[in-house]
Amino acid sequence: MAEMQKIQFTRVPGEAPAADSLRLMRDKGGVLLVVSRTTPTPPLGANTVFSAFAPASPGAPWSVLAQVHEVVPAQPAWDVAAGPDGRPEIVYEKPGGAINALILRNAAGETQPVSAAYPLQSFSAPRFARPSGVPPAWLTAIADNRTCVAFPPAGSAAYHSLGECAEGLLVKTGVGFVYLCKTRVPGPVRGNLLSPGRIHIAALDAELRPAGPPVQLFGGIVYEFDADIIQGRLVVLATTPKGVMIAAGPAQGQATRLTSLEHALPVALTSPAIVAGPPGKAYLAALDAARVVTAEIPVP
Amino acid sequence: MISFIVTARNESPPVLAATIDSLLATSAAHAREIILVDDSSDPPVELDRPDLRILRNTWPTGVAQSRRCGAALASGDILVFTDAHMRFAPDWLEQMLAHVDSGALLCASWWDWEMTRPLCYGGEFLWCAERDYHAGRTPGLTFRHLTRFPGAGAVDVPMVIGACYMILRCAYDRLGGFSPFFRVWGKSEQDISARAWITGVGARCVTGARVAHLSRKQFPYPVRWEEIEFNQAAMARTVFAEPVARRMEEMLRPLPNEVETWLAEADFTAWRAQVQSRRRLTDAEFFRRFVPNAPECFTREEPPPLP
Amino acid sequence: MHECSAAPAPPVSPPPPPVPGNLVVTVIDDGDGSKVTGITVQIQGPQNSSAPTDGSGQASFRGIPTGPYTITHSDPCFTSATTNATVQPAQTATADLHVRQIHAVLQIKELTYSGNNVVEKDTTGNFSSPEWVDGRAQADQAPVSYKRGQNVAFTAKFKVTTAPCRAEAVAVKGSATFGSASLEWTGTVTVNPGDTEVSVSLTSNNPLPNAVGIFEASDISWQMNPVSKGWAAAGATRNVLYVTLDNPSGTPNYWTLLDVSCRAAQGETTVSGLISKGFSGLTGRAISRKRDGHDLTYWNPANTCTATNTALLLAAANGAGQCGSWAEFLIDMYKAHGITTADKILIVRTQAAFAASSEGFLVKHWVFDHPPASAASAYTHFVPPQCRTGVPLPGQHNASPPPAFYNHFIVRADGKFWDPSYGAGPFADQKAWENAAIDGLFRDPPAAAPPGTTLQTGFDKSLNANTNILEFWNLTTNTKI
Repeated sequence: MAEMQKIQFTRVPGEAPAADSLRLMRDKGGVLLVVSRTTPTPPLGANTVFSAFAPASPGAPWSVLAQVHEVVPAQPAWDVAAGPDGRPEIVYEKPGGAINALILRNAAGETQPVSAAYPLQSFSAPRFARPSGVPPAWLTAIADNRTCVAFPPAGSAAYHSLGECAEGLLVKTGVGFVYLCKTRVPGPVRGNLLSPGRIHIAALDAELRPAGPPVQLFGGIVYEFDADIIQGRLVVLATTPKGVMIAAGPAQGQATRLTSLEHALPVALTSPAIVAGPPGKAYLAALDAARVVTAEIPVP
Repeated sequence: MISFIVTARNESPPVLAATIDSLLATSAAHAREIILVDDSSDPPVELDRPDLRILRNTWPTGVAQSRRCGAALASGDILVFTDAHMRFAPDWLEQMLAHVDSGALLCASWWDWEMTRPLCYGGEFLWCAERDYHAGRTPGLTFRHLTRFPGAGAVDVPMVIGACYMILRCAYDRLGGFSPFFRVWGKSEQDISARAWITGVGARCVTGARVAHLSRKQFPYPVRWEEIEFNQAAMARTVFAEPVARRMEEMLRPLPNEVETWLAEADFTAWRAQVQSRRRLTDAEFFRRFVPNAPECFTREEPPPLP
Repeated sequence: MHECSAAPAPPVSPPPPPVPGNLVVTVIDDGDGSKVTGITVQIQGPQNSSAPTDGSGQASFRGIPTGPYTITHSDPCFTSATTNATVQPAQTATADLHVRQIHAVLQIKELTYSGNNVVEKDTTGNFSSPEWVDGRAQADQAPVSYKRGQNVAFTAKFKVTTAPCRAEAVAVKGSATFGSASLEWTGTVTVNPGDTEVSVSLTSNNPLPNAVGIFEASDISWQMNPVSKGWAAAGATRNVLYVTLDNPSGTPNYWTLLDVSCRAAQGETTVSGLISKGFSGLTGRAISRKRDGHDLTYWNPANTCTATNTALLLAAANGAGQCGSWAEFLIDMYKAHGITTADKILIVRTQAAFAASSEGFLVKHWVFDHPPASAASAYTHFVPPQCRTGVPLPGQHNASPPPAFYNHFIVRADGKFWDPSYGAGPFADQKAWENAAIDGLFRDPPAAAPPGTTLQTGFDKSLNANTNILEFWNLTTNTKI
């Protein structure tokens, strides 16, 4: 932690599109920064455009990864990861009006329903399991605003229930997983509906069964979070009332042994994302009022 | 700048807040930061104060490792390590700062919680030969409070004690900091004080600097005898040279099985080499000067071992 | 003749001593006209002296030099007073010294309620005790909630604005009217000389009315009476009081839920009545969130409308919620009154249809052009241009909600269907809802559709009022209705 005293977020070069949400992934070409923007298409529905940018090629323009039109005009939550062919796959909420389904869209534009076996349940906040860049990935989502569930990478469409949670994320470690879970606490939201919460970490075995009690990662409030395995270290990034929190610890062995520290920032960020960057570095990205900002930090 | 490193585990929130507030109030005239190391408190520490950063461990690392962690994050050129249940007299910091440039490891005079009577001015080492957990004794280097006022200013003491220590960053680095091997609690002051003398840094009590410490009947977290015994054995293996290290370890035995397992898993090589490379005092001199009841075999000068 | 032989002059007689007089001072308590016994009276003049009053309230000074005297006392239990008298030789002067005994004076300072159901401030945390605090703006005094027919209890803390000089018992009384019920709280508190505040636990003599209600202007008037000297005003307190049908069950006691339901269902005493009248609070489609006055809306704005349950609706900065949030808002509103029998109903074309994201329904009003002819059970029109949106059904704070959905949430309670997103209902059955709510179905256009087609529509409800074209699923039992 000593070497990481200050985190400096700067705007990405070039004309970045205004964004509602942001994620990072690694594909064959390296780090890919993906953003989404949803605009209404009166009289019916809305269009969501997913755009991508490769930080390793700052001169290259943003490219459109996908465009999805939906009859119901909600802004979908989504995630992106490398598919079996190494190209980006997007999982997103398909808004039904009352309940959402989860749709997986590959780089060729082909879609398949993820949650078809559960037509009476609503799914939100889909997240691919980390580490980024290791397909195929488990997929977590929140069922009926209450329970974190994990869909397996392939085969059975049945999910595993991971317990009550407002937002969850699985990180695959050598022997199993760690499960990051945010539970909501009373208090004012950030932005429109980023709820304050507390983040816990728990070890799971390879079958997603608990392998130890959950531990609270950080004493304060978090809003959103992301994580990745970077050079054998599990690193968690979360937005907090003062700025961001970064927690790090070994990804092997007792992977819930992390040390966390809050870093004050002058602006309130949303959509925090973290992925392995250049050797010895973690690459961070977030939105500062719809504008994409990034930072690099030494791996803590 | 002064970096205050406060370690806390399951501390009562009002007591912790009072400690931080007292530090803030008495250091207001200085550039400072306070790094609070929350060593897996349950519930976690939640405290918002200016100049305060909280480093949290999700698993208990112990006082020594928490202090090391906090020191690694610190950016000040003066480090102050304190417990989380303290009160500070209005002038305590100025009193200590007046002597920090000596490069020595400093402690304050230790007072009762109401700050009406002094409890000690540093400590002296004592050798304990017996193991009696009921009586609170384990073999190795224990200590006794120095209760007589030794005079004004900064006075050499064998051992710092009292949960409030100040040292220049450069001196701390020369010492190597708190032991990277120590578990949970126990023997930290003996270890760092012994190394302070052996490496020529020295240890002093600033008798005019008054700090109050809340004495508690029991720890708010579990402390096992095995942890204390391991720390003592680790100290023996790293701080002292041959043949003292070997003799000392023989005197510590029989160690609990769990301790033997931990010792077998630990690799002291690099740390020991670092400590020994900075030696300016022989073990015999150390024991003669600072451990009045040291076993005779620790106090006689030995010729260096044959290559 | 020697002078010494002259007879000495006779001695001059000293002047006779002045004739003293007397002074009798009577001390009178103007508070009740009584004579004050045992109080030390002090006189200053040709002679200073002091004497206590006797059983008649009189202090006597006999044989004192004549002249003017100032008369006072120094008893801390009485107000200071001064009077004058002139003592004449061989006469008894009298004087009255008027004082008032100093009793405790109390003023209401705080109320901490008990036996109440704590109100939650719309997802930002519970209102904390004390619920009423002197000096806090009325808008910031905490609302309180009780089940109907319950006595109201609290700990009343009084500020001692005047301390007595010795411990005395002070009776306190609070009075308030809540609808048809008059409540009184009486108790006694001992006030000691050094006290700056005193507290007493009180319970109302009568219960609250046995019906749902909201009381926003019912002050509790406070009085105090030290050692039975007489009642005096001691301030007034007011907390908005929500009276529920029963204790809340299964939901946080959100402020907005209480306000909407207690206001709409005032006077109700039955579950059916609460369900029906409570819903009437949503039919105006004009609900505001209590904690910040923000409108609570249905899909307004649409593209940042992400709230899908009560907590998220109450938390969202823009106050915009999808139908799930409104269905749960209604269900939770009933739960705030202990009613747990409302079910969340999911409306879909079929389960498979949404899973395949293939079919949904058109919310009124859509216009089917003719030609082509519409059909009751077939897809007949392309969008655009053959079918278009008309005047929409208004939703909560939204004149123009999205015109088409794959699924929708409504509520079944008391044997009827209620659509809180639109403030519409009750509907006796599925057919009634379909006829009131939808104009037909939509699906993704087939491959043969003209370029630029967004949707294909059909199943014109105007031709099919008697056949249900959707499915209603009870999510409490996961069964099709």
